Amino acid sequence: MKKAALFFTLLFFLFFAKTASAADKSNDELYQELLQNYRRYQGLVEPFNIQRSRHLTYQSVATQADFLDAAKNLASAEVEAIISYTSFIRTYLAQATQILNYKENYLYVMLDDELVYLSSAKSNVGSLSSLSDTQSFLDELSSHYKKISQIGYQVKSLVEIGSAEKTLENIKIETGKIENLLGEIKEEDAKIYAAKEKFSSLKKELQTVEELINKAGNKLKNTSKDSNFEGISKGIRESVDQSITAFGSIVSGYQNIVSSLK
Amino acid sequence: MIFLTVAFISGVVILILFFQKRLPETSINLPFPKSSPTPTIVLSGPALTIAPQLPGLNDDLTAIEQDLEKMKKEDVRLVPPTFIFNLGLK
Repeated sequence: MKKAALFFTLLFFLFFAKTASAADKSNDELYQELLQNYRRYQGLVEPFNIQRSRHLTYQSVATQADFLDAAKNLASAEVEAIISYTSFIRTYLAQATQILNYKENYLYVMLDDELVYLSSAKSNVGSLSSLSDTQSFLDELSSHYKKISQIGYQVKSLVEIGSAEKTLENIKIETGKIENLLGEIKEEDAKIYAAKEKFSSLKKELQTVEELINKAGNKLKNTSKDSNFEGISKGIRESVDQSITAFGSIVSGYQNIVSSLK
Repeated sequence: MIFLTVAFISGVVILILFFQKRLPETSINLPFPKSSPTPTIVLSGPALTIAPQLPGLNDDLTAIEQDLEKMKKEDVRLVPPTFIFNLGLK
């Protein structure tokens, strides 16, 4: 009786430790898992293409059976890789935005729903018994993956805009400090006049960058489920790149002003 | 019997009143005045030649530069990988 109790206690702790370690994986670990699963999937593409060519050439029962096996293997690896990608962007979103008090909770919930679907797809792939069933399975998987990809692009853009907004806020704080500092200086000196003029021009430049970031943020806000998130994401990255260049020039201008006041 | 009861209650009341008078006071009187004396000498520091905010500003601007370097690197890991969803039979 005691041995049985000890056995079940150990079993419980082993199960608990396994569950906890799966939940605590970082996005880097999940990305490594994705790479591993995607490489496995890529390794199955060539056998799949070979079996398809054979089946299209001979159209025999044997070639059809071989092609079905190759297609099922490919679909199974595909589901595994998609699960890894979904888990990766889910953790990335959670870590990047502190999901518990952030407005993008709905994306997190959507990814959870997709993971539930993928889990059932993973168990169903083994029972596919015909090529037409396999094609229907892949069609359904494709529509789910389209949604997941859209969320992936949204997460990318959200993180990029979030970083740009955070940097903008930090630069605004420094702008305020420099403004106060220049306001306190009562000396009438050509260097001080030049510093004040340069600061005023950089402040205007900062306003332009703020407008650019706001426009990029609005692009992401004014979307529907049918929007082309890949295109939107590219546009947002361009805006973020422009803002990084402008921020760099503003910061070096501020550094120049500060060093001239020493 | 009534006399004994009245005498007992009166005794208890007298004892309470007696001990209440002997209880220590709740507030403590300080032996010195509460207000501190004002200094007779006014201290004045030397005039600053460098604004004290400048070193902090430089550090903050350097930290922002480092953030910008991180932002320059696009995280392509989030770009979804491509998959085959067609058996190619039609």
